[in-house]
Amino acid sequence: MAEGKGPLDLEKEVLNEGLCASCGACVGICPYIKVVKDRVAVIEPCGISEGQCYDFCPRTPTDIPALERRLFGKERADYSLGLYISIEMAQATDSSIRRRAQYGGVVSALIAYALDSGAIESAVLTKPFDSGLMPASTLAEESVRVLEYSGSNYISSATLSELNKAIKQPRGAIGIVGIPCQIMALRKMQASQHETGAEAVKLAIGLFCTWALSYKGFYEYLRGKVDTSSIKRIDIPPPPANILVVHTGDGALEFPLDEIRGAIKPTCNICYDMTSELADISVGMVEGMNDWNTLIVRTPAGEQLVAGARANGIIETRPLDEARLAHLREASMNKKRKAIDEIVRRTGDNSNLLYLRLSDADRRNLL
Amino acid sequence: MSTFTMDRPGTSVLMMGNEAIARGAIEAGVDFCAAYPGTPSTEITESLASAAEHLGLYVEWSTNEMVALQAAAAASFAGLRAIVAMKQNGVNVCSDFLMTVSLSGTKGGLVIVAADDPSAISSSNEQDSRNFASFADLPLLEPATFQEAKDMTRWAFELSENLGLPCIIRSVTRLSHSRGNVRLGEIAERQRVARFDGAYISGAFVAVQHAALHMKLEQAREAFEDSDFNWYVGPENAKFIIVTSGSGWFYSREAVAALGLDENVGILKIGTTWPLPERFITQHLKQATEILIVEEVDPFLERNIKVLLVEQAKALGSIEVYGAKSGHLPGFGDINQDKVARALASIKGLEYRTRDEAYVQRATELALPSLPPRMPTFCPGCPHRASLWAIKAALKLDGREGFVTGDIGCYSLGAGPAGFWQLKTLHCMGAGTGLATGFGQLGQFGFDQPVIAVCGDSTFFHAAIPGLINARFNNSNVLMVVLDNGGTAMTGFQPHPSSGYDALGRPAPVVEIEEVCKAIGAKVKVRDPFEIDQAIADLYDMLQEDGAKVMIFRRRCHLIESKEKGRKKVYVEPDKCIGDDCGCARFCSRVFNCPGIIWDQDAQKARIDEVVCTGCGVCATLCPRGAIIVEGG
Amino acid sequence: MTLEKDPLNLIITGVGGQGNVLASQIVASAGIKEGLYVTVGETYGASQRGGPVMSHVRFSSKAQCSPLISEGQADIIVALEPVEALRVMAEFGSPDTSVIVSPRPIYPIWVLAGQAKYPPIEEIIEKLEELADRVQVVSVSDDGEVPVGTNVLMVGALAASGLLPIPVEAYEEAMRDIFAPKDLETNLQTFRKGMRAIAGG
Repeated sequence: MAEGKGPLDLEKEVLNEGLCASCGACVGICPYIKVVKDRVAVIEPCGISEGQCYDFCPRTPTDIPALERRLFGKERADYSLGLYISIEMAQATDSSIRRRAQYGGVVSALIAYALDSGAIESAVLTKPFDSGLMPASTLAEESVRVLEYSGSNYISSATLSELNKAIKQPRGAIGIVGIPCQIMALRKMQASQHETGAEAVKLAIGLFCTWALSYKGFYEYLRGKVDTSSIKRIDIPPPPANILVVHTGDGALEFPLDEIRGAIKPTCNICYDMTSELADISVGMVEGMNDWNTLIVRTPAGEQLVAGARANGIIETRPLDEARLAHLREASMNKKRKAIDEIVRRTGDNSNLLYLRLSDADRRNLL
Repeated sequence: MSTFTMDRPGTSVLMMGNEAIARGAIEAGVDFCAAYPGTPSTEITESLASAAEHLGLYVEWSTNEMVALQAAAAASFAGLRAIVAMKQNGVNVCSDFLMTVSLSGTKGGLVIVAADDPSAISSSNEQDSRNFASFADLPLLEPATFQEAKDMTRWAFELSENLGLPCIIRSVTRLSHSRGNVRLGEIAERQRVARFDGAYISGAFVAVQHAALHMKLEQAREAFEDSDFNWYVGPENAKFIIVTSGSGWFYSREAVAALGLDENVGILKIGTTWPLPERFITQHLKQATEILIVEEVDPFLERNIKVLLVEQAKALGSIEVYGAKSGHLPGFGDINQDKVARALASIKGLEYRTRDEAYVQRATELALPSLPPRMPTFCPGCPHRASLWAIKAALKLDGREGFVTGDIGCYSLGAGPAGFWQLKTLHCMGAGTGLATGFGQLGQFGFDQPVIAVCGDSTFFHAAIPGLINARFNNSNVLMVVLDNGGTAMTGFQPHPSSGYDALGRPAPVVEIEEVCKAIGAKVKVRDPFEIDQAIADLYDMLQEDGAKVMIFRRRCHLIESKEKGRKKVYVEPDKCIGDDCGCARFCSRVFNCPGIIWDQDAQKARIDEVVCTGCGVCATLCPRGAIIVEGG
Repeated sequence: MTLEKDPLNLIITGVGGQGNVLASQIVASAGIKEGLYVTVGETYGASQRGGPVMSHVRFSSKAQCSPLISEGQADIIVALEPVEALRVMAEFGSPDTSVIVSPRPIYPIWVLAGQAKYPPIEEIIEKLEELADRVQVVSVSDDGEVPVGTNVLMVGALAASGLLPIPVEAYEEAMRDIFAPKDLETNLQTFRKGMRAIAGG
C-alpha cells in the first residue's frame, strides 16, 4: 500500500487533478500542508520523498482487499455492500434526539451512548454549519455536546485534521463520525508503517454518502439567495421531490437539486463507497421512513456497542425489508459502476483505476 | 555632551558626514527641519532632532518628502532658515515642487540635502541627483570631506538667501555614513521671527520667471568662481589633470599617491558643481592635454566639462577626456580608489597592483570556496516572516497562481529567500498598490490571478493611499496587506503618523490606518500575523471577494519590542524535536529561516541561538510537535 | 604624534547586529583624541538584517584619508566573527597583516537552511595563519556563558595588543564620551576583560 511517495506526488496525482476529498487526513501532520474551507494545498514541498500525507490519502493507491483483511480478517463476499454482521432499521428512542438530528438520530444516540458508557473517552464530531456554510469539527469529551454536532452535512470538511490534532498526544479510546472517504483514510492511517496514534480510534461510525458539494460551488449558488450565516439545517427529501431545502431562522427555502448538482465535488464522481464499507458501524437513511435509519453493523466492536445501546433502551431496531435491502444494493452498485466509468474515462485505460486497487473478484464484477 | 550643540569652536571631533551636515545647519542658525527617513540621509534629521529642544529648533518627520519640502519652504517663505534631507528617491518624490519653487523663489535660506546611494546598498535603484540641479536650474554644492560637509551646509543658507533660491547639497553614502575629523565653528545666534508677506507664485509669466531664474544662476556662478570649495593640488603646469568632485576627491588623491604620480598628475577638485565655475576651471586647464574625470554615479561633471571644453576650445586647445564615456570608469555603481588607480594606470601604461599575484591566488583558493554567502534576512522575531508565510499559504490555497506586488521597506526583502520569494514586483514607494490596482482591472482581458499588494505602515501614509483610493473608485480587485510594525523600521524605526509620538519623542495624535481605509470604502480586517492559521484563513476569504480590501497585519517590530520589554527565553526540548522526519523536515531552521534557530548537526535536533533569538515565540506556535518552549508562556 | 606606517589601516568586521559601528567609533574617537586624522568608512543599512559588515578605520598624522582601504592594504583586522575574518583577509589582507579574531560563529540563513556549509573553526584559523603575519584568537565567552558585548571586548583586545599606538586611556576617555552613564561601567569592565584576554595569549 505504501508506495513510498510524498507531497509532490500528492499534488500531482490528487490535488492538481481536482480529486481531493478534503478529508483532512494530510492536514495537521506537518506545517507544509494546510486547509482553508475545503481547499487543501501543499504550501511548500518538504523534501521528504515518502510521506504520511501520500500514505493516508484516500485518493492515492489504496489496496482495499488488504484493508478489509486487516479490519475484518477476510475479504468481502457481498460486492455491493462490503462486509457486515447485520443490516437493520433503527431509531433513537428519544424523540427529541430524532427531531434535532437527522432521520432516526441513530448516530447521535450511539455516539452519546458510547461516551456515557465509557466505550470511548472522546469523539471527533462535525457539525454542518458554524455561522457560515462550512462545517466545523471538534473533539467532544461529553455526551451533552453531541446534539450540537448532529445533522447532515452536504459539504465535506477536513474532519480528520481534527483527529490529527487530537492524536498528537496519547489518548484513550476515540470515536469518530465520518463519510466514506474519511473512514477509508482513517483505516489507511491505522494500517500505516508510520507511528500515528490513530490506533486510539476504537469506534468509527461511517455515514452513507452519494456525493458532497464543494464549498465554493455551493456558496456561489446560494449567494444572494440565502443569508448563509442564518442557515439552521439542510435537507434533501426523498425522491421524487428532487429539491434541496434550506431552513433558516426566517423559514425554509427550496432549490432544484439539478441546479445544485453542478456544485458536486469532482472527486465524488470517482468514489467507490456509498455505505462506508470500512466503518465499524454504517448509518444511512431509510427510503420513505423519515424517522428511521438503516443500520449496518460490520465489526465486533460495532456489534458490542449496538447491543449495549439496544439493551439500554437507547435505540430500537427492526428488520430491514427485502425490497429496501435490494434497493440499497442496487444504489451502491450504481455508485460503483459510475465511479469506474468516470475513472476509465479519465485514464482512458481499463487497467488504470487511479486509486482503486481491487481484488480480482471485484474487478470481474464491475468491469 | 552632544557634538551638535557643543559650543567649542576650533575643537576637532569625530563626526559622521551626516552629523557634520547637521552641525553646519546648526552653525548657520537653522530654524526648521522637515524630512522623511531615507538611507543614507536619516541621521541628518535625527541629529537635528536630538538638538532641537536644547536649541529651540523645529524638527519633524513628514509624511513624505514632497510634504517635507513644502513644509520647509513655508518656513523659508516666512523668513526662517530651513533644511530638508532625503535620499535620492525622495528627490524624485518632491520633484514637482522643486520644479516650481525654483520659479517662485524663496526667502529664508532653504537647503535641500540629497543623499545618493551609489550601487544601491540600501535602495531599489541608483541615480545621480545632481541632474536635478541642472534640470531645475538650482545651485548645487558637493562636499568632498567631512569638514566641507559642515562648512558647505553652513554657507549654503547664505547663498540661498542671496539668490532667493533653494540650494542643493549632494552627498553620497560613503561621505554621509563615514566618519572623520571635523573642526567645529561658532554657532550663530538665532533671532528670526516668522512672518509672511509677498507672494510666491509659480505660473504667472513663466517664461519671464524662467529667464529670471537663469539670471540667478549666473549670480551663483559668479559667487562660485572664487569659492574656497574649489581647489587644485599638484604640480603647477601639469599636463595630466584629474577633475573630480564629491567622494572622488579622496579616491583620486589616494590613487595618485599609490601610483607614485604626485609629481605628474594634478587634481582639480570642484565643490560648487552646478553651475560650473567656468573661469576657474578654464584657468586651471590651460596647460592640460589630458584630463580624467572622477565622479559617481553619472558622468554629470564629465558632460558639463565637455560642453565647457567646446565653448572654450579657442582658449584651451584640444584636450583628451577620459572618464565614463571612454570606458575608464564605469559610469554606474560606486567608485573607490582601486577603480580610479586602475583607470589612471591603464591610461599611463603603468601597473597597479596592491598585492603579490601568488598571494592573491592563494588567498582566493583558501577563502572563497569555503565561505558561505550571507544573504540579508529578516531580523529574529520580525513579524514580516510570519506575514509572508501566511501570504504564501493563502495564495497557494487559493490556487489561481496569485502573486504579490512589493513596496519599499524591510519587507522588500520578501522578494528573496527571507520572505519565501513572494514579492514579484519591486519599484518605488507606493508602487505595489498602484500596480495592483492596474492588475485588478485586467479581468476583461482574461486575467484571473489574484493580486496582493504589500506595503508597510509608513509606506501606506507616504505613497499608497492614492493607489487604494484608485482601487475603490475604479472598482479594482485589490487585496492590500499593510504590514504594520509600528514605525519606519528599515531606516531605524522613526515615528510616522500612526506611531503615537513625534520626531522628538513627544506624544503625537494618531492617524489610524484602518480608519483611513474604511473612510476610503475598502473592506478592512486587522489581524496579528503571529496568529498564522487565522491569518491564512482571513486572507483566503478576502481573496475570494471583489473590490478593494485591506488586511492590516499588526505586530510591533520585535527588535524594538525586545529592547523595550526584554526578551523571553526560548529553547528547544530535544526529546520532542523530530527534526528530519516526516511531520517536520526541519521546518523551523530550514524553511522558516529565522536566524535565531540553528540545526545542530551533531545532535540532529533544532536549537535556539540565545544570542540571536529575540524571544518572539512564533516558532513555538509553528513547531508541529510543540518542541519549542517559551519560558513564561 | 607620528605613525610608523602612515596611513595605518584597520578593518573591524562582523555580522550585522554585532555592534561593529560602536567598536569603530570608540577606536576612532580614541585616535582623534591623540591628534590623528581618522576616517571611518562603514557598510551598513541592509546589514542590520544579518549581512556582513565592515568598518574601515584609517589613521594618519598627515591628512584625512578616504573612507576605504584598498585591496590588500589592511594592516590590522579585528574580526567579531570567524568566517568574516577569512572573507576580509582574502580581499584586504597581506603577509604583513595582524589578525585578532573571535572564534564564535554566527550562522547565515543558507547554512541554517542546509544549503551551504559552515567550515570548522580550526580550519578557518589555520587558513588565517597561513595568510597573515600573526593571528590572535580571543575567546569571547568562557564557561559556556552567553557572550554579550563582543564588540567592546574585542576593542579591549585591540587596545592591549599594541598594534595601534594609542594609549589605553584614550580608549577609556572615548568610551566615557560615547556611553550613557548607566552603561559605562559594564562596558569598561568588558573592555578590560578583552585586554586581559589578549594578554593571556
